[in-house]
Amino acid sequence: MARDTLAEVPDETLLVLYANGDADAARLLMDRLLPRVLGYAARLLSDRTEAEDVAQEAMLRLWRVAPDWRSGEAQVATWVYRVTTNLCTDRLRGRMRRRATPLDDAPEVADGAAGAEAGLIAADRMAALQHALDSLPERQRQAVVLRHIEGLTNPQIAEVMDIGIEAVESLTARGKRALAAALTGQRAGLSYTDESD
Amino acid sequence: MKATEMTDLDLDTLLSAARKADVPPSEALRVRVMADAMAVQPRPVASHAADPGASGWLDWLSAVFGGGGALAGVSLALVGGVFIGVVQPEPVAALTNALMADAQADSVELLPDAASLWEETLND
Repeated sequence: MARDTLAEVPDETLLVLYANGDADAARLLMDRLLPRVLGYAARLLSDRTEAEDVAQEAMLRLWRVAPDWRSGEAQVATWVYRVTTNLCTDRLRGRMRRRATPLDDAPEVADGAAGAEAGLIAADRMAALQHALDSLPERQRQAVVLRHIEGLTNPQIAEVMDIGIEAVESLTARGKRALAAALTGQRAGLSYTDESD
Repeated sequence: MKATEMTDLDLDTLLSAARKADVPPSEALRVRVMADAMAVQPRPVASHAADPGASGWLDWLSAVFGGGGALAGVSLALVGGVFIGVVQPEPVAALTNALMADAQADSVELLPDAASLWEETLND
């Protein structure tokens, strides 16, 4: 089927088309899901190479489940996020077993003078955010990233994390507070002083 | 609030910027993912249509007899007839004897004897 015809087709339909031999459907599904899965894994793992491996594995599991996909049971994107979450959890636990996670290894945020240009400031802010995310407990980090960066709804997050909606609300609230606390002291370095003070 | 503390607005701004910051997959990753997709994609079930050249005569014969079912029936009747003719099962032989008892003959003379023709000529 032509790609422009598929543009408005839901993920689930694309998955069925893929299972029936449509290569274009697979490519379009990859275009939609891979950047999201990769970004999510990168946020959870803080490691681009590992994130790519996880994203590839999550997509491979999607391809494999395609022939047996049960319509209406789950959203394709939610399913992939869930697989990615589990794969990242496995990797993080593997890291914990190998060594204590050295939070101090996270990149230092450059000082304000070094980040004079807007691009550098933005990069500093993202590095600081990633450092702060890394300091959160695993479940809080997942919930915060899914809610505030990936833009999932609380019911979707509940499905991804296999918990209740109230638990999601609790995790995201506590995670956001912890995130703010982790970033405390860096506000000036991230040039927020210039904008909001 | 101290100047060093992140406000809700600061945090929301930061998270919003993170949401917009794409993590574009590398071309190498895209190639790997598509290769996986093609490798595990279910293959269409192969058609079991036979070679039309090889079975063309069978199709033609089926058409003559009105389909495969009719052809099978005719074939069965043919095989049954040959079997009865060759083996001559006991019930069939008994039935034949009962029907043909009066008409039984050891030999049938289909042409008159040449000597009788000669005799007629001499008599004339």
